[in-house]
Amino acid sequence: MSYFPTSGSRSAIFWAYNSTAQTGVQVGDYFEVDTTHEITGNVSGGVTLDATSLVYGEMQTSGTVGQLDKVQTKFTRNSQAEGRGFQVATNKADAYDCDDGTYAKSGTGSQFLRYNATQVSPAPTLGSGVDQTRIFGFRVES
Amino acid sequence: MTYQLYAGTGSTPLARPTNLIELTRGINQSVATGTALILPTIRATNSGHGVTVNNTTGEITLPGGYDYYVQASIEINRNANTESFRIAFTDSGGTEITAANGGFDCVYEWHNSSTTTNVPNFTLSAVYVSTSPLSSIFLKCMSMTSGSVMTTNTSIIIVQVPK
Repeated sequence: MSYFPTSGSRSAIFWAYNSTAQTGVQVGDYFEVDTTHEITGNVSGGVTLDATSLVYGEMQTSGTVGQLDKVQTKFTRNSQAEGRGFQVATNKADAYDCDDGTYAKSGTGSQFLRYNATQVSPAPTLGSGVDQTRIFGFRVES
Repeated sequence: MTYQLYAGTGSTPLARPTNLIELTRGINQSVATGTALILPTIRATNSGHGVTVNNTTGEITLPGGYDYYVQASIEINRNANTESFRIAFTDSGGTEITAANGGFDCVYEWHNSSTTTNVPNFTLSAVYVSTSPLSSIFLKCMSMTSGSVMTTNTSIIIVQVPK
């Protein structure tokens, strides 16, 4: 039995979120997460995985009809869009909703993981955006 | 090879297993603002987890000595197409647990001006996550008009990780 290295004693559970709304989200933007627990984060969004992990993310979008009514997201590993465990769904009829995706990281070592907006249609107008992005994860031992 | 959640400093195997606990309900429940969702049926991967649910109040007790990730997957039959609602975890006093304390609500906000019928229900997710958890929590409707119903497709999954 082996364990992956961590930087000190941390829980198997980690999470991150943004404490303020993010407005004017455009295609390719990173969804901001400025608060982290049990994991290292970055001001521009994302978390640094320090062990094999399962990561789940979701967000609450805001806006009126026609704003942010179609959103696609992907986790990215470093600058590369990560296709594994990817899922998105927003209901066009209901502009305020949660969008989610999962990511399972294998291997060892730290890598940067971001929750990335890959499509926002139509382009958001003033007042629309993301009320809250959330990332939850579990370190696993193999 | 065995797999388990990783916890600790990196070399000592966990003395106790991680428990996965499922809470469900066998019949629909009428809900409105202030209603606690009651999911009294418990299944778990291991005995001895100590999590309980009050069948009357919906109170969920979380024994100490663990970190918790609690995720509710919620399906609501709204009383009207135009209905919006919000559901969140609260403490024992009924106060919503904020994001700073590990509480993350779920919101459905109706925006469409046209009538939508004959479409499947959506499910939304509310989360409570903490490494210094409360001993007692509730899953409550923070805003919802009467006449709506929580369906039996609603469930809570609790990941209980030994410290």
